[in-house]
Amino acid sequence: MGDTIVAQATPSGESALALIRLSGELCLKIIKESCGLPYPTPRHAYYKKYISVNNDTIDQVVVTYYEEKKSFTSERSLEITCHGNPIIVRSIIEDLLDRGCRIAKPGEFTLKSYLNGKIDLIQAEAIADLIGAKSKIAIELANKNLNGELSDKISRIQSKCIEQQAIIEAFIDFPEDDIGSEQTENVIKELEKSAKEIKSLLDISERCDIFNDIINVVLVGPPNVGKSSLFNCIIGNERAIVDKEAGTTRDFIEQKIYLGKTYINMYDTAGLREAKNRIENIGISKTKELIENSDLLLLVLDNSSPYPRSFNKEIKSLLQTNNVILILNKTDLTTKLDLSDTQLNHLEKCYSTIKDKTSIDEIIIKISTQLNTLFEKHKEFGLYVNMRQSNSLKASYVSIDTCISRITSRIDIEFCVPDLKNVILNLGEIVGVKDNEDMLDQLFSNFCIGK
Amino acid sequence: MKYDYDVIVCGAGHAGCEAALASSRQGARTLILTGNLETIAQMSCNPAIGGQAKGQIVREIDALGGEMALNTDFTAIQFKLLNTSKGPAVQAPRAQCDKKEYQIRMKHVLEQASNLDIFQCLANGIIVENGKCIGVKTSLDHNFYANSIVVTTGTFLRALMHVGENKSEGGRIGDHVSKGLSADFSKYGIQLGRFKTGTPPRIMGSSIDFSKTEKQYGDKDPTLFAFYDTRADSEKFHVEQNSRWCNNKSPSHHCLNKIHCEVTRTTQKTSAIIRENLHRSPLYKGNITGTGPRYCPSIEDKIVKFGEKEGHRIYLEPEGLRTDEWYINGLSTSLPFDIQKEVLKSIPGLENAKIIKPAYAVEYDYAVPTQLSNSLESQKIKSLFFAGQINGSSGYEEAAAQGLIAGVNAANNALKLDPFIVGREIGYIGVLIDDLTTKGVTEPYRMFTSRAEYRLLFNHGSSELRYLPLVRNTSLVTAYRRRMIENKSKIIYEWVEKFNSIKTTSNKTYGDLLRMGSNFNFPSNFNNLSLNVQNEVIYRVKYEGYLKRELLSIEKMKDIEKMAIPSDFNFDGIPGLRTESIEKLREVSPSTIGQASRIPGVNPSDLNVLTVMIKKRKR
Ligand SMILES: Cc1cc2nc3c(=O)[nH]c(=O)nc-3n(C[C@H](O)[C@H](O)[C@H](O)COP(=O)(O)OP(=O)(O)OC[C@H]3O[C@@H](n4cnc5c(N)ncnc54)[C@H](O)[C@@H]3O)c2cc1C
Ligand SMILES: Nc1nc2c(ncn2[C@@H]2O[C@H](COP(=O)(O)OP(=O)(O)OP(=O)(O)O)[C@@H](O)[C@H]2O)c(=O)[nH]1
Ligand SMILES: [Mg+2]
Repeated sequence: MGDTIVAQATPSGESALALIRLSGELCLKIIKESCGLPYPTPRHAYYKKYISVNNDTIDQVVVTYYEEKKSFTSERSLEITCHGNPIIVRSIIEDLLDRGCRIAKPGEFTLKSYLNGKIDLIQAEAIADLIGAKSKIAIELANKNLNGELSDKISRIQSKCIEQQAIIEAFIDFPEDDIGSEQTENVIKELEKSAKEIKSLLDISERCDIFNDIINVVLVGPPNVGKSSLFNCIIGNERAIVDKEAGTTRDFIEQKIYLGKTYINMYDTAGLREAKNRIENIGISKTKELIENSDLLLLVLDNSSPYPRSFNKEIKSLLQTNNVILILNKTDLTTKLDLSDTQLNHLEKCYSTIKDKTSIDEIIIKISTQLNTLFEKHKEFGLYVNMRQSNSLKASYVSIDTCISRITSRIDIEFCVPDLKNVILNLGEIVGVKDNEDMLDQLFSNFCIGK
Repeated sequence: MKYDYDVIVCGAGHAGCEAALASSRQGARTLILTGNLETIAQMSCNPAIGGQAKGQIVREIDALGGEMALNTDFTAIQFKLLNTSKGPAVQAPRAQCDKKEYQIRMKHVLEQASNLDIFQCLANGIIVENGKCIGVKTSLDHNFYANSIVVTTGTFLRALMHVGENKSEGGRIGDHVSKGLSADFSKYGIQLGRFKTGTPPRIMGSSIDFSKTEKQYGDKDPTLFAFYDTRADSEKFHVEQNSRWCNNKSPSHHCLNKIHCEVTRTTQKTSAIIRENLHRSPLYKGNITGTGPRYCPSIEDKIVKFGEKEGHRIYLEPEGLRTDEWYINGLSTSLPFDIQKEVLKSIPGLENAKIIKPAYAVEYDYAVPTQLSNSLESQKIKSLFFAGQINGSSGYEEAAAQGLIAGVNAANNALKLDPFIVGREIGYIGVLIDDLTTKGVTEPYRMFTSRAEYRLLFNHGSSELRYLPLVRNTSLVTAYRRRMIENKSKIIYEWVEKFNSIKTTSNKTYGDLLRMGSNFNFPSNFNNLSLNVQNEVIYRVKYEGYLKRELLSIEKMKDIEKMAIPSDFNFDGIPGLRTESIEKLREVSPSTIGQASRIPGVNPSDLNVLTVMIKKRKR
């Protein structure tokens, strides 16, 4: 066996804390590399930063290591307790997969435990029930979660691939039956189409990363309107330099904070204007990049100054990202801002001054409700691709890509089939396994074969 | 009880012959019974051995010391290697044989085999005592007793032939029917099913207009089925050398192309005739209940399902050197005789064809193969083995392969030796037996290369190497040949090593160059090796990456393949198993978790539950 398996042990969904369990050889290496504990004392709870393979700190966790023979499964085991946010749990599990673990099958921990002699016969019988029950639930969940559209889509791609395999197999197995190699071109075309469709599902799954990945919230606006001041207020820390001089912030500043129900990355950026010098210009183009990758924009204007006409040409690109909160700052001073003949006038306005803490709190509430509607919107989007599915999709994409390039480079066709079979298998992990009989059904219904 | 024999084989078709020979080679005293001595090893349908996937099987049969390959090489009249435009893994030898010569020679092989008796009479019942088969009843009213019985009765059980509305009994035209056995099988809980198959008409060559057909020749250089580089001279054409009356004692034999085939096509008119008369085809009227194979459609099927745009290709194949009988490949039908004549008239070159045997379809009983264990022994009655078309398979090669395996196992059972099991990872024979006994059949089963998970490893040239570990503990091949195979295998492994380590001038290994597809000269001592060895080394080196991937998945499979399920394991009432799975598991009685995993409808969580319960029982 030898695999190291991982699963969330606590129910999924929102909760204060979540427990992730691992069993297998890799545990020791993982606690060393992700929590910086090369020689963990067994059964000792450590409070540590969990660092991903990409060197990001994902969370502060409590981690406990169990030696071989002395754990529930009798294998090396780890228990990682992290914050109960699904996004954090998911990031950690994804990272563990990157480190070579695989997701446990229903009941697998208990099964290992039994197989390794840790629990007795009566318990064993109980697990038989449990496994049966869990897999039923798993199937029900899968069916529920798999909204028809997604599974239809994947099934269609899968049968297209089976069709292509049938053509290749007919070509291999019935050399006397007039099945020409000219079919190959068409096979490539069809596979390319399927590859594209898999890719687009992967894109969707990336968009679903809003559930997995950290959200980017970016403060933008003309210079000197108080962006850095607001940034400091929101993160609760004097991180950014504040000055009455316009153009103070040049390079953007990033800070991860927990806001509402989720972690977000807050960015303070260089004020947008016609740059006065080269360095400022670099800062501004970085700002624009951030705007593009943002999930939510906080557009700040100075309520105590007249509207800067030159800002009009920035507005268009800002409004393209559909999630914008308009903040009018410095309300402690006399109002001189008039938006009535600008495109911004129809936006809902948020008033603030750094002199008043409640106006800042209101902004924070506004941000978190905005983020929630963002989540809801993605849910309604229909095609929710979960982590397991997106892993299978990724694997099938790699295989179909290899397959296409092999066929295109004219490698003998039988060597291209294993990759194609992998595609069908990986898609099958999502929508159900298809076997050689299904391929033969295709073959015989499409080709007139035999004596 | 004193038995007459260790093993009795019932039926001398392709399965029966290999079964009897393998059993006698294993040292068991063997008797082969057959309804008709004149039709031993008869090819009921087309006069050809091999072809895609089947050709590979024949070479594997040769690696296990079977006779089919030698018999084909010796009686072949045209050779063709298929798929030469593709890689070695999917190339397959095929040969047209002189049909009568094939039978005659095989009969002579049986006659010469030591430990083997032949007798003409029909088995019409089995004798069972305490759940063990101990003998057969015969049409002579004489019983024969043995430790193991092998049933290889092909298409003969309750066989019914159809030509249009005309019906007659018999396993093939001119041959007998076999009654009695079916009823006995049912009595002991062996489940039967009904399949059908068909064959085209045979015509006189002198009535073919060859100016309208296109010639098709064999290969210049025949690819033979048997391995000769590992055989002693005395093993090559042993029958001829040992024949009482034969003067030519030379071990060499020229395998040559002696004939060519002809090709023509059906026409619009053919389709019209068939469509008009569809109502007279028992297949379409529902008079035939048995399921036929999709890969051998009748001409009715082809036209109804696939239309007639360009016509369907028809091969004309001579049946032998001392006959002018021709086989019309592609025109299998159950239409009435008068329509058959009309159909022929509509095909270019066959306008004046004289039919000498009508086309017909035959329906027969088969025994559900999932009731067998992977040694081909029945799980209902001990010491009773089944092989060949009776197991729901189809094809001479598939039958012969099963015959061989059932023969060894029947002998081993009688001699109290371990069962002889061929895994799916060894070759097509393993795939064939595992598919039949695990997945079962819904139509007559034919081998396709796509059925094998490890097709790339199953190139026909490597058969001897793949089966070497299995033949080590048997007497299926002679000690001399076994040594030669060991030696050949060593040389191949050594050269693969060398190719991957020796650097050429360009600081690349030969392996690198091969994989890059560059042109270069092989080391001179490599060129001195036999072509078989050279080809095998080159294949293994050139496609190393692909082959390693398959080897890796074999290793993965072996893990669950090792987990044995006790033969008396009771699947009933296991908590967590779905009823549907329990039924399937009970029917197939898999011997390992691996086998269980291939049963259609058994899912991963069922396997987890099973694993738990088996471990539990062990403690
Ligand atoms: C009409 C027809 C068409 C076919 N078409 C095709 C085709 O298109 N493609 C294909 O792949 N295969 C075809 N086959 C099948 C092919 O012939 C068989 O798969 C193959 O011959 C099976 O070998 P076997 O040894 O199992 O049985 P068979 O070759 O059928 O041999 C059975 C032997 O058992 C003997 N026997 C039967 N009953 C008894 C008994 N009770 N006692 C003693 N001896 C007995 C018979 O005399 C015979 O010698 C066809 C067969 C027939 C009859
Ligand atoms: N009265 C008042 N002054 C404020 C308020 N917010 C910010 N300021 C002042 O405005 C000036 C500019 O503030 P910053 O936060 O540096 O502005 P910025 O938008 O980051 O400016 P650049 O980085 O130059 O683009 C500073 O002197 C702040 O003290 C506010 O709400 N009220
Ligand atoms: Mg600033």
